[in-house]
Parts: sequence; C-alpha cells; structure tokens
Amino acid sequence: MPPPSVVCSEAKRRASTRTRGLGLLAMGLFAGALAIGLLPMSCADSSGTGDLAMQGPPVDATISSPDLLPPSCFMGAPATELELLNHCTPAEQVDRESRVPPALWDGKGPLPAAP
Amino acid sequence: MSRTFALLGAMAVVFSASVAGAALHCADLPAPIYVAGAAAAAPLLSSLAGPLANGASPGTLIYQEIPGCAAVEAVVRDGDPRTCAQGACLHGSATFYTLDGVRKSCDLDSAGTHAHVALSEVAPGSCPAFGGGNPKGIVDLSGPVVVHAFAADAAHSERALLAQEAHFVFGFGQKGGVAPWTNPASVLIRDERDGGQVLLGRYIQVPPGRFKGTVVAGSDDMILRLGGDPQSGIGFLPTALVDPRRLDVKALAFQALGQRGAFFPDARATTFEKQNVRDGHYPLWGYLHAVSLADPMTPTQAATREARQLAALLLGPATAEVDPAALHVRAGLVPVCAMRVMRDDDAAPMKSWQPAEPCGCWFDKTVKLGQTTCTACTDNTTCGAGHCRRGYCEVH
Repeated sequence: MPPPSVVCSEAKRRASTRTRGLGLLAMGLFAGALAIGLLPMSCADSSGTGDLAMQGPPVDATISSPDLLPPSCFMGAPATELELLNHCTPAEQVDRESRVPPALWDGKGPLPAAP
Repeated sequence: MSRTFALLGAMAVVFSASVAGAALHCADLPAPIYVAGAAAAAPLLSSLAGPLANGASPGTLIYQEIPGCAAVEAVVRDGDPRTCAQGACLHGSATFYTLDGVRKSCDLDSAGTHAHVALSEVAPGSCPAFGGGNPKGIVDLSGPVVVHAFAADAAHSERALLAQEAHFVFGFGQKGGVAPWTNPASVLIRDERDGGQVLLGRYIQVPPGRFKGTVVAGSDDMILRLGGDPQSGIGFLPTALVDPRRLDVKALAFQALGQRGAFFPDARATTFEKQNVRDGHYPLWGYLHAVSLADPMTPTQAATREARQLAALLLGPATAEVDPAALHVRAGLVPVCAMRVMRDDDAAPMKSWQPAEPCGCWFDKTVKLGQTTCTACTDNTTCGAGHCRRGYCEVH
C-alpha cells in the first residue's frame, strides 16, 4: 500500500533529526517537546463537535522509544480508508516494529499467500 | 395483559418441569422464536426476553450459538417447512432466557427445528458457502456494528498486533515465526463459517478456510483457553464479549496494513466508547445481519411473523416498550447512529459518513464510564445550528 499523505507533520519530522546549528537545535527541542506530549497536537481532527478525539494532547500515547516522534498523521477531511486509518487523533496508540522475520517477508511488496 | 399472564403461567409450569429434572423441550415453551448465530448477539438477545414476553404478541426467545455463516446456511437452505433439508434446521440444545435474563437450556426437536432468524456478523454474500454471491429468497436486514478484536489473556505481555504479523501467525501455522505467538496449539481459531473469522481474514489477507491453529467451539472456550497460555495464547473475539471480562481477557491494539500505529477499538485501552471504531482508526468491525426467509408474495418482508417481530425489536425504531439503540449499547454493540464511518459491504473500504439522526453524544455518555462534552438539551433552542437528539445537541 502506498504511504499515506502527510500534510501536517513533515516539518516536525525534519525538525526532529539531529542537525547542526542553533536554529535547528531549537527546532529539535520543539520537536522533542512535541514527542513527549508537552505541546498540544496541532493536527486538527475534523470529525465534529463533542467528540472525545478532539480533547487535548495524546498524553496516554505509548511510544516504544523516547527518541521516536509520534507517527505522521493525516490532517483534513479523509477521502480514503487509508486517510481514515491515519487521521490525526489524540487516541492512545502503540508504536513498535514489526516482528515478522525478514526471511518470511521483507516488508516490501505484497504479502505471500497463506498456504 | 391477560396474554402476558397466560405466558407467565405457562413458563412457570415449564420451569417447574425443569426443576423437577425432566428434559425441557424448547417446543413446549410458549410461542418460541428460534434464532441461531453469532456469539456477539448473545448479550443483545438476553436483553430481549422481557420485551418479547411483555409485547403485543408474547414470545420466548430460543437461541443456539453457532457460527454466523452456518446460521445463514440453515435459513437459506430451509426451503421446505415440512422437512429439514441438508444443512437446514437446528439440532441439539439451545438457550432461552427468563424474564430477568437468566440463561436456561432446552432440547430442540430431534428431527430438527426450523430457525426463524439467523444472526451473522457478515452479510450472507460474504459467507464461504455462497462464494461471494447473494443467496436468493431471503431478507437481510443490517443493524448495529459488531466489533471484533484479536485477543489475549489479560496478563499477556503484548499490547498490539500488526496486520502483517497476524497474517503469518494465523495463516502459516508452525512456519509463522512471529514471537511470542509461535505455538500453533495456542493460536486459537474458529470454524471457517465464523463471521468474525471471515471479517478478520480480509484485513490480514488470510481466507477464512486457511486459518491455522487450534479450533475452539465457542467464545467461552476461547477465553478459557487463552487463560491457559497467557504468554503465547492468541485468538479473536467480539469486543461485546471481551469488555465485560477485561479482568480475564484483553483486546490487542491493531495496526492495519498501511497504517501508522496500532489502535485499540476504544480511545484508550481502559475506556469503552469505541471511539476508534466510530471514526475509522480501527477497521475490524462489521454490521450485525438478521437473515430470514422472504415472503414469496412480498419479497422485501420476512415470511414468518416471528422473524418480523424479532427484526422490529432488534433493528426497528424506538417504541414505548423498547429502544433498540439502547439495547445495542447495553449489549456492547455500536448503534449505527453513533458511527462516523460506514462500509457499503464487508469487502468495501471504510468511508466517512454522517448518520441521518446522529446519536454520538448520547452514545458517549451511555457506555460504561461514559462522558461527553456535548450540551444537554430538551429541545433545539439550546443547540444553535445543531439538533437536540436523545437529550444532547448533535451536529445536525
């Protein structure tokens, strides 16, 4: 499946990389604060009013590594299932690497058919 | 009222026979309505005993839990009411519910019993026996959302399952190699006609007949066996059956192919509002289908009074006697009015959607530990551009 469209988080991802320069260091600190939930999520959820998903930052988000930023998410009105699945949300999520042995599947291309 | 008293009296006689140790025949129960199918529907059916007994046409709900697609087959193949064709009719024992929702057992006719309604977690056309085509001569009414989850013992170390992992765990048996789920004896699966297995198979790309593991007969058995191997046991269950037993079993967060991050059905593992199901972050769900034989003269209508009566209770609008949406919530299902995504059929992708009469605020408040920030209302005057529904201002 193609990667989802990323609208609101590209700048943050670039800011999270270890880079030279004070300005970029400041951006890295900003991104780090975002990663540990100190700043409200700026990706709006357009799903309507009175919705729990609209309430506050992802304080319960479980991140497997403190060095990882929250995954990119899609902002705006989702038009496809993939955009729905990846729509920005403060809901708790679990991020971890796949445990499928590389010998069985390299993570690219279609999955092998179940025998 | 007199009919209700007669029904109660008859049931008292029947219960006495039960207490005395005599075999209780389902056919001896007053005005039996026979339902077969999805385990996910059991909590919903138990709540209908009272409304059925107290309704204009009192009846006794008699239910046999079998795979959803097996139930659909039993209805579809039941072309002759005088006999039981191959694959039609129900056999063995069944469950009925007393007026206060207590489960009791009765014996079905040894020659077979015709089911009035089949309840399935997938549409008839999704069932393996029908090969993708819609069987003729039936009425298929879709109702509340049934949520499914890959499940493990509550003490299990893992919190999430990725779709590609599930593909190998459930599709490759001993060659799966995805730790900690490497023991096929502890990978628990259902009959290929189980609606949950059909549905989940689509999202992990394993056809329902190619699941590999240990087949378990029912949901109670699934939970028991997961507890027998808390470290590597894995299976799947409707969340309607997981949620009341979170001390014993838990739903794993699920990451679909192409999705970033694994999500629980609820916004948190500890809540019950099914936020991620309703807004499209959690895709493992389908509509509950009530399937019955169609009236040959009026093909859009069920052939039997019993089927029409049950459909009205399960899926109809609220009346003074019963509120189906409230029953859905109490049974751990999601009423369609609370959803913000929908599917055209089981194989179709999800898409954004707004119900004609949304009830999301009411649903958020009504579930266990529920809360809402919606404005309470008694009429539209406090709702601005919105609309007052079920006591809360909805967006329209």
